[in-house]
Amino acid sequence: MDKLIEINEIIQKGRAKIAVKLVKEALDSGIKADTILKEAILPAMNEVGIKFKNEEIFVPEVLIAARATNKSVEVLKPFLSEDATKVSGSVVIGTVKGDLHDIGKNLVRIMLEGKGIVVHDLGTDVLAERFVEEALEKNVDIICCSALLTTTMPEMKKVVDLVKERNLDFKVMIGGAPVTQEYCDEIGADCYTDDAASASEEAVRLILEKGQ
Amino acid sequence: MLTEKKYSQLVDDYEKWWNHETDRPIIQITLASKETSQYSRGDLLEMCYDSKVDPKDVVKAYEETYNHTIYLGDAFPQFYMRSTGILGAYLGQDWKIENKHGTIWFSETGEEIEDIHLKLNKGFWLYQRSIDILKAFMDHFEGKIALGIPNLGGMMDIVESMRGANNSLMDLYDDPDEVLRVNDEIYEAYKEAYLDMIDTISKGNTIGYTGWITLLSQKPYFISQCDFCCMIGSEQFDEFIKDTLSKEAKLIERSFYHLDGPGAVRHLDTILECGFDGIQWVQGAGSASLDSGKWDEIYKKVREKDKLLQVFISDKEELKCIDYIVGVLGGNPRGLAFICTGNEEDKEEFIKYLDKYHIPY
Repeated sequence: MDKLIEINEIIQKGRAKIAVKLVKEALDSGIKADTILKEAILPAMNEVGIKFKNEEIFVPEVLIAARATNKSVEVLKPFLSEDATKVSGSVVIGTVKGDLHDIGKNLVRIMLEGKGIVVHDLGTDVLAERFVEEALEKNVDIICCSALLTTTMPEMKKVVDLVKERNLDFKVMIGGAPVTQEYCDEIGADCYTDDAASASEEAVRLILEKGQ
Repeated sequence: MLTEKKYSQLVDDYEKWWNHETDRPIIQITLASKETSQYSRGDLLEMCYDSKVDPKDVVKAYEETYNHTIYLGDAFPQFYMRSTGILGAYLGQDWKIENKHGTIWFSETGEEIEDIHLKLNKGFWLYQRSIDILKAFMDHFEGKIALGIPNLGGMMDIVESMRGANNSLMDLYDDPDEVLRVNDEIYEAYKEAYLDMIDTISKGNTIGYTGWITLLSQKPYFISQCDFCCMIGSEQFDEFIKDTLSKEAKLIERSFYHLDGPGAVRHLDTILECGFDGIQWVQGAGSASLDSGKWDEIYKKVREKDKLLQVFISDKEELKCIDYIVGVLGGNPRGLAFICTGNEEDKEEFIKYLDKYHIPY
C-alpha cells in the first residue's frame, strides 16, 4: 500500500500531474478505486484541513491540494462504486449581497467537498432571496453564507429571517472575518465557525442531525 | 475650520512626533455633529469618480461635511481621494460603486497572468481627474486643509484584484515569474503616480501631507499595505512581497504600513525590517479588542524597533484602549497615535482623554 501513502503525500503537496499519474498506476496495479479514494485522497484533504487550521500551511497550499484532489477524483470517477459516490448531504454557499470577497467562501467549499458534501456555489454578491430560492430548488440541507464586511453582515440575518418566515427546513451556517458567535446567536443562525475546516466538520454534524 | 494658532501648533506637534522628539502621543478626535451632512460616504465617493461632476462641486460637498464635523485635539480637515486600490483603475480595471455601503469594487480583468502588461497612462481621465480634484482643493482652501494622494493600494492586492483571489494564489505556484513581472510593473506605475501626485501637493498650498491614515506631515507621507499577505506563509511573503515593500519604504519619505488583521501578524517581524517609519495596527471587526491582551506583542515589537504605532479608536467605549496600550508600553505614550471617531453627544468623554494626555484642543 506504499502507493496509497505516495498518493496521499503528493496530494497534500498539491502536485496534480504526479497525483494523476500515481492514481492511474494504482488502478493499473489492481487497487480498487474506492480504496484509493477513501484511504489516500480523502484522508489527504482531511490532513490539509488540519494543517491549515493549525497554520502549518496557508491558503495557496489548500488550493493546490484541492486541485490535485479534483483531478485525481476525475480519473477515479468511472471506477467508483455506488457506495463511494453516495451523496452525504448538500449545501448552497455564497458571499452575501454587497460583498465580492470569495476566498473564505471558496475554502469552505473545498473543505465541504473534501467531506463528500455536494456544494452548489452561488458565487459572490448573492441576495438573501436567491440563497433561499436556490436552496429550495436544489433541495439542500444547509445554506452557507459568507461575509467579509461588517456592512454586509445584515444580509445574513435576512437569510435567517426568510427561512424562518417561510418555515423552511434549512440550517443556516455563517462565517467570515467579522462574524462572531455572538452575531450568530443574535440573528438566530444555526451555526458559526471561525475557520473552513471546522465549518466542514460542523456541516457534517448538522446534516447527520437533520437525517435523524 | 481651525485658527491660525491651532494650525501652527498642529504642525509643530506632529513634526516633533514624527521625529521622536516628544513623549506626547497624537490623539485625533473627529466627531460627527448632531446636525448631519447631506452627503453620505457613498455620495462623496460617487462624485469623485463621476467625470460629469465639476471638481469644484466635489470640493463644495466635502466642505459641507467639514462644517458638520468637530475637530478636537490633533484632528484637522483633510482630503484624499478614496478608495483602496485606485491604481488598478488607473491601469485599466473597471469599477463599481455601491452607494449604500460607500464601497468601490474593482473588477477582475479576465486575462491570464501572462497577458497582463501594465503601464501608467497619465492621460487617462480618472488619473487626470484625481490630480484636478487635488488642485481644486488647494485652490479653494488655500492652506486650510491637509491633502493626501489617493489610496493607490498594495501591489499584490492589485494583482489579486485583477486576477481574482483563487487565480492569483494559484499563480504563485503556476507562474511565479509572471507574478513577479506584473508585480514589478505595478510598482513602477505606483512609483510614477506617487511621485507625480506628491509633487502636485508639494506645489500647492496646504497645511501638510496626509493620507488615508490621517496623520499630518510636512514631508511626503504615504501608507503601504498588502492584505494579500494574510493568505500566504512566510516563504511566499519573502519571495513575492518583501522586496517591493522595502522599495516602497525607501521611496516614501515618511512611510507607514497598514497591518490588517490576525492573518497579517505572522509577517510583522519581516515587515519591521522593511524600513517603514510606523505601523498601523487594525485588529479587524470580530477580532479581540485592542485591550484584550492578545495584541500586546505587536505593541511591544513596534516600540522595541523604535517605530511609530497608530490605532483607530472607533467610539467612546474604546477610549480605555488608549490607557491600556500606554500601560503595556511602560506608561510612556511616545510614538503612539490614536485616531478617534465618535459623535458630538460624547464630546465630553473624548475631551477627558485630551486633558489626561495634555493635548490642546
